[in-house]
Parts: sequence; C-alpha cells; structure tokens
Amino acid sequence: MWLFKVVVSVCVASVGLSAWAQDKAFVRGGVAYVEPADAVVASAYASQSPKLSLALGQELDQVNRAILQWHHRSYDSDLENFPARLSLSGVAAGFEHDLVALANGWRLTLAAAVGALYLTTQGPEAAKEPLLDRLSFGYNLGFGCGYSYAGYNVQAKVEQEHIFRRFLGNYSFDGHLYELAFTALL
Amino acid sequence: MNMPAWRRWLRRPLWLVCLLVVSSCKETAAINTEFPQVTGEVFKVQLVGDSRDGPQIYASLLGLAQHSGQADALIHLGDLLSSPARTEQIPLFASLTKSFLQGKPVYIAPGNHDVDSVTSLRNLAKVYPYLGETGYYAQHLGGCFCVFLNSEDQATPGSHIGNEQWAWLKQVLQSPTAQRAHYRAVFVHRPPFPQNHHKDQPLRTPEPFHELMVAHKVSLVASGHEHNYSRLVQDSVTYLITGGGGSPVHGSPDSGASFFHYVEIFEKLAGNQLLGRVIDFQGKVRDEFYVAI
Repeated sequence: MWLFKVVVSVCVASVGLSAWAQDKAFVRGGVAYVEPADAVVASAYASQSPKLSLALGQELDQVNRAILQWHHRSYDSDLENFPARLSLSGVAAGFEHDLVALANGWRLTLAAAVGALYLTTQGPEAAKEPLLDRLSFGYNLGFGCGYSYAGYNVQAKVEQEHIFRRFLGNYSFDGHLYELAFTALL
Repeated sequence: MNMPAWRRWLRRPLWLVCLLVVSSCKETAAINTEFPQVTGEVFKVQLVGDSRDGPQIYASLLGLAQHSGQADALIHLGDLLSSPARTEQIPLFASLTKSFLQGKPVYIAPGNHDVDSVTSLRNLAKVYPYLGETGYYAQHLGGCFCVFLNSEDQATPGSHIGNEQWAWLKQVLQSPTAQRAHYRAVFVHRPPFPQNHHKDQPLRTPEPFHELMVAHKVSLVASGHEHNYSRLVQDSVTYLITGGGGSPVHGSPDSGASFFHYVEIFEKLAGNQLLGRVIDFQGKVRDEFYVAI
C-alpha cells in the first residue's frame, strides 16, 4: 500500500506543479453516483459513499484538455452479519474533447481516462494479501454536458467504467457513473 | 444549401453514443434445457463444487438448475472463494447463491480455497453459522442423514481431518439418529479417491475412511477439489467428484470428465434408491446413475 501511495503522490505532485507553471491549468472536484453493472455486486454491496474525485488539468487548446485525477469510493456489504467494506481508490489520466461548443457557454464533451485502482477491504478479521493482488486497471468513457462562465465550469457527465475482471476473482466491478463536477481555472 | 452549424455539430457525437451503447451490450449463450423432468414426490438436492473463479458459470449452472425445477437444498462442495484472504467475495457468493435458491438452504463443505486458518473459517461462519467453530456438522435433508466434513481442519496441523473430527465422525455415524435415517451421505471437499488432477493427494487417509463408510452403510460420498467429474463405486459406496462449478476445468475435454456441471440427486424413497444426474453447462445430461439406499 505504501508503494501505491508514493506513486500516486509523485504523479499528482508532478502534474500539479507542471500545470501550475503553465497558463490555463485548472482544478476540478467531482461527485458521482456509481451504479454497479453486475447485479450480484449491486445486491451484495451497497454504495456507502459516492465516488469522490479531485483532478488537476491543463487546457491544451480551446477544445482539448488533459487531466490527472485521484478518486475514491466505498461500498458496504448488505449482509447484516458480515459488515465488510470495500474501498476503491485510484489515479487516472484522462483526456477531454469538446464535441460541441454551443452558444452562451454550453458545451458537449467526450471524455476518456485510463488508470490504476487499489482495493482495500475492511471487515471481520480481513486477511492481508500482497499489494499486487489488490491492484487493478480500468478505463472510463464518458459523455458530458457543461456550462462555463467566467473561468468556472459545471459539468454533468455519464460514464461507463470497466475494471478488469481478475481484480475480484472474476466478479465484475464495472459500473455506470453519473457525475457532477465543478472546474475552476487556476 | 448549407446545413446550420449546430446540426453539423450534433451529427459528430452520434457514432460515439452508438459506441457506448454497443459496448454496454452483453453476450448471451443458448442453452439446452430439454432434458426429461423427474416427476412425483421426490426430494431433490443439487450438488456443485469449486465455483471460485467462475461466478458467471456458477450463476449459469444455478439458473439451469432452477429452470429444471427448484431443488430442496443446495450443497456446495467447497472452494467458493478465490482464496481464504478474499473475504470481500463472501457477500458476493452469498448474494449470488441466495438469488437462485428462493429461500431454500445452502450447505457448505469448506475447501482449501475457503479456509486456511481459524480466522478464515470464522469469516465464513458469520454468514453460514452452522459451520460453527469447527467447520463440520450433520444435517437431516429429506431421508438423508448428511455429514459435512471440514477437510481443512485447523485443529490438527497438517491433517485434512484432525483427530477430534475423526472421532466425531465415528461417533455421529454410529449414533441412533444416523442409523435410523433412511440413508447416510458424507460431503467433504477433498476426495478420498481422487481420479484425475489430485490423484496423488487423497483425503488423508482413504483406507480407514472407506472402512468407516462401509461399516456404517454410507451410500454416497461427494467431493470437489478436482475440477471435473468422476464416479466410482467401491463396496457399495458411491464416490462422486463434482468440481466443475466454475473454476477452470482440469484435464483435456477429450477425457470425458472435464466439463462445467452440477449434479442433481433425486431421492425416491419408495424405490429405495437415489437417482443422480449430471448436467453440463449446455444443459445436457452427461451421466445418470442410481445409488441403492
């Protein structure tokens, strides 16, 4: 776990510094409701928290942006006598492209991101496993609608997330995400 | 005539929306469920084992079994988790299994991927309390006195079945309750007589175990551990290995034993026999057998 934290910290710090050093860098905070695509996962684990995300980004030109994101979410077991909690944390590098720039600051956006995720389990006497067994990778594809005004942007986004299946012994943690994000130019 | 700018823009994302829709579609496979139904008053038990790395296949097998008529109980012959440390899979297994059983019970004989310590057994027992502190127990199912063993016994290190469990097994099989039952069956993850992948790793120790089964007229011993199917009859005891519940099958498909499957056991007390039927992933009957009780 310490290695993962170090990697995340270094990535966030380096992108943050480089973004800060240039024009049109921005920071973004987001909250997303996650709907598991797998009915078994949805019935076994209820969302305990929304997916919270914090991102730093850079506007590459008027319609393209690069983003580095940290995110976290957790689920609680629905079994009364087995109060387990899964937490998924991760970093993702992404790209956004404005498909349509409508009048009055509205825009439609396509987003894609790839990243690494780390699973932690809190529960009744949860056993320890090697770090690599808890590490997985995933990608997101999303479509959003945003409104920009005076250097700020509010965006509603629908995303499809795929987390590679070996992550949880072939139980799929794929999901659909409904996100609301707030962006401010630095 | 030029198209307005906003319409030109609207056309661009259409292919992306299509891509998102297509990628969310799931594949479905056709299955055959046209095998003959068993009619009349029967008690039906479904056996499945080693589902650990194949929840989709396990779910399909449970769905197939449900389609052929709801069983009165499900017996899982162990290895329901990828490893004992993957405690997060316990609620997933429990939820998946429960969704197919419509309130019917599931009984587990824990496997080596489920239990490797007192802690891991305790975790399972939180969801399946009948496992208790030991992992072995006995249960009446229909006319059967069913004994569930814990082949991952932690009480005697290095032993599949520890001294205490062995003494308990002897005691429980010779008890009046067991002897009064119409027939007796034993369920244990590690097979006493493995036939394929784990042939050199039998449940320790098979000879005294078999003598005990014969002495107490146990009709059926069902196990998992080997990810395939086999059946052996020895001195009127039928030994089944059914480990095709979802984990990658062991051995070549040409061997005739390596296929995903579950087993249905029909209790036909009037005829003093059990009917067993092995159903594969496509819904085909791969073996049918009778066990005298």
